[in-house]
Amino acid sequence: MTAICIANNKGGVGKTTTAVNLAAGLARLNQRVLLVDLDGQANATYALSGRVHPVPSIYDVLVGERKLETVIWQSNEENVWLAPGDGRLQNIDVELAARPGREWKLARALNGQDFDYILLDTPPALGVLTQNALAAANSVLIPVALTEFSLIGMDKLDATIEELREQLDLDDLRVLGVFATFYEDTTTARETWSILEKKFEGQLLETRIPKNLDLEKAHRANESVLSHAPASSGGQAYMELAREVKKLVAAQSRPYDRRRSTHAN
Amino acid sequence: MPTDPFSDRPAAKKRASKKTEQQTLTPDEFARALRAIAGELERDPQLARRVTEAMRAETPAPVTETAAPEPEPTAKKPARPFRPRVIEGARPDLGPGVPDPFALRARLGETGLAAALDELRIGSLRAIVREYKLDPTGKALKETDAERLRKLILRATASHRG
Repeated sequence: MTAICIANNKGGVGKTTTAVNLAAGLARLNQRVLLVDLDGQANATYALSGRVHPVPSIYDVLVGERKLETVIWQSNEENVWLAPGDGRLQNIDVELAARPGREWKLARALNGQDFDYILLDTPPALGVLTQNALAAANSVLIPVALTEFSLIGMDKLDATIEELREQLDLDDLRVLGVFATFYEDTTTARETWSILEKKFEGQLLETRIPKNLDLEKAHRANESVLSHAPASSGGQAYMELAREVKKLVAAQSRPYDRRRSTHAN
Repeated sequence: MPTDPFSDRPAAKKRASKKTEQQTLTPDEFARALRAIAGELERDPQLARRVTEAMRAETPAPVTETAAPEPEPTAKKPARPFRPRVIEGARPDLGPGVPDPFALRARLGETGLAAALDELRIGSLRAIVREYKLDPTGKALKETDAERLRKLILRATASHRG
């Protein structure tokens, strides 16, 4: 089992779109996928089920009211299951503030789950939810929008990953890859891409996700772009991303047993 | 009530007039603002709900015929009024996961099932057909017309029951 945290502290870079469509892409490669929606906006939940802020959700698991198994649903995509999110996640920092081991709640819940991949969709902030996702993950996938302001503030994500590695003893947490979203052939995109190539040398994935209206239409239809418009540029790119991720994971994979340690108390 | 001691000065008036000009949006800016608002409303269902409620509460009184201006003969067709796309989502009583059409028919009857299916978008309808194996040929999974999928589900659940 591989748990991938899809993170970037910037909003609107395509984290949820990636979580939904990468899940569907991996499922088409015969993988059993669980998508955990940790964003209080719960857009991944809506995109894969048509439900708006359903209760119970992953919130109830994180605050210790429920077991993960009781909030997992079959999503609208074959072989993709969903641990939905809801609006209460927006205040969970306060709820968990005084609880010991608050960064390990998710890791503990994921132990023993029987999926090939667990994708963790995170909010655009580096609070307790993203910390939980990073602590539960084997690796981090970072979407970067090729737009004017996309690189400002990204150092903060690097620093947080580094800090958590030390604080929580996450020696084997690694960046699986950085990849471009909202790609279009413009001067800004080309310039941003060349900066990314320098900044993330050796970590930049080959797949670039184009700016494509079908990605948004698929969300509205409550399914992945691979079901909605598989031949679209967005559909083909996400299928390609799934193949690339699977290949990378196969090269790096180790058993998911780190979280069984005494960290999770 | 305190007054602005400088409001009578010509410079202050000029500044105020310039400010008003600056505050007027160009059509492009206005369109961008509306798109941004629509985006926010799509992202935040709670906000969308609040805005819808506020709009309902402040619906203007109907304009009388005498007050309506004569349409200009060369006038273009008026633009459709802006309506935010409110994300309603599926009904909570459908339960979690892919809704079970057989259970819904048993619980709500044919009319109730039809009403429930009306609320679902094509992704959920496709999932029902797939999960409950309502189309042995598999062709329906490529269907792009939601209405045809609804009819198929109604037909398949009815024949199963009969």
